[in-house]
Amino acid sequence: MNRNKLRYMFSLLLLTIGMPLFAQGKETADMADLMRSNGKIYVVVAVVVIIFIGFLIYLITLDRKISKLEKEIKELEK
Amino acid sequence: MKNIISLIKYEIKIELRQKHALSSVFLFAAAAIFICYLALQTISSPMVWMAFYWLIILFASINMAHQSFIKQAERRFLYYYSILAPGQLIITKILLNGFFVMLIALISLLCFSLFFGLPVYHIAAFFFTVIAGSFAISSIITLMSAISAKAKGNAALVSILSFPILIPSIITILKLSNLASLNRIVDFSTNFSVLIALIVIVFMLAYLLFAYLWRD
Amino acid sequence: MRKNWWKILAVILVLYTLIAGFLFPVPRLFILHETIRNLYFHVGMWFAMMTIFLISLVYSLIYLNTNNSKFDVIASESINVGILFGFLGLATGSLWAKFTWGAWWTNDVQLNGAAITILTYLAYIILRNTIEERDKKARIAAVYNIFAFVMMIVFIGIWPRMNDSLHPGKGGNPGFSSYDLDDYMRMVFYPAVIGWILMGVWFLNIRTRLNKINQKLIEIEDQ
Repeated sequence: MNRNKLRYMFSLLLLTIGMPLFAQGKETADMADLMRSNGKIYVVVAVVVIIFIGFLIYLITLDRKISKLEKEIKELEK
Repeated sequence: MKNIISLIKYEIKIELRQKHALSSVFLFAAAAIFICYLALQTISSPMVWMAFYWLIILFASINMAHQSFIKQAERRFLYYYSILAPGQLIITKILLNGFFVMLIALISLLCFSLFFGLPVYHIAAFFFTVIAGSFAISSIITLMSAISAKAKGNAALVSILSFPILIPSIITILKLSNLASLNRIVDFSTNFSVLIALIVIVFMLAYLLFAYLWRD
Repeated sequence: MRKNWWKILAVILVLYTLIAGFLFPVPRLFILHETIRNLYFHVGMWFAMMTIFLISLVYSLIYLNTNNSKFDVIASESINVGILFGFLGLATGSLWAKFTWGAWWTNDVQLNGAAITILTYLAYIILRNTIEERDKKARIAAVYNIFAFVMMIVFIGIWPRMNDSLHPGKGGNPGFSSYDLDDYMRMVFYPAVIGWILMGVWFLNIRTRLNKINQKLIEIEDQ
């Protein structure tokens, strides 16, 4: 009876030591693997690139307008 | 160096005789303290006590700088400019204002504790905080009011220019004050060194830059 | 094309950042997950802002030495551009903080320092608007610019390191090098910073030229 009780206590002890290990949860962080695996990440990239190209076109147009004005002023000054 | 000391002594003598700036600023501080008393009756937590006290000192300091720089007679300034290098001139101004704000701070501390008590355990550290803090606040505000006096500015410009730069000084002062009100052994050294460093940086910048500011 | 090579470089670097920033691998960390990619954009804004303010400081110093107003134009326009980058940095940081730290703004030293810097440079603009005469405006603004730059270095670089902070690298947190600038991120981060700085310089270039044109037009009208 004593031996059985001892074994019972021992296994209970092991279980209690083992409990905190369950709180570890996931092993690595979640990332956007789903988006990458079904190819939709390229949509995000495409959207961002399109926005940037839009800004770029605006910037280049502005730059060209200013160059034209500078040339005109140079002509006027001569 | 001797010029600075003699000029400061002279200015203090004049101020204590006429009491133009000191009296109006002290009136402002006293009125503010009294209104606080009427509105609050008692202040329960030391943090609130500190907040109110330093707010009053801050606004009194802005008042002080406004009086001393903008209301100055032009002729007296030209005289000073001829005998002192511009760097020395601004250091005199800063030390002067610092001294006056310190006076106001100590007197308001007296009045404030009359109404609300003094919830401070480390009294020596708190006194050092008040002295160093008034120098820190007044040095920044003096420099900014020098800039705004050149810009024919109003008091609003002084506040706008000084407010961002005052924020770290005020945060450090409040931290020190709250530490001084705690009932245990506290380490003041890091915060004090930050405050002293801020004062030194402002002094050095003012000394180096004032010459360019005051060219005409 | 010879004059504009750096603009093309800016575009290439930023496009590379946009594409590689999303597609290249990054370390897998808790709390941050994929948002660590924000590093290329948010920190890029701050680096660009500081570089452009440094340019402004240099031109302010040159102006104080030479009294030539064209340097003052560059100094003042670069502060306008720098403030834009600063606001973008604050906005991106705030959004990032909401989804990782849980709040739009915290009482954190680095955040306070950044906000104070923006306020200081906004006060510069207000100071410029208060003064009327051009030379006086330029001189006083240049003096304040030097003061503001030194204060910026103190508030963004020195003060956060002396206090506790949530940001990595300041106040006891491990620096950036310990957990994210692994080799893959370095490949995107350094070109990103250079790209954003060059874009800022492009904005500065356009604003300066526009300012000069406006001045020339005013001169021609007066004649």
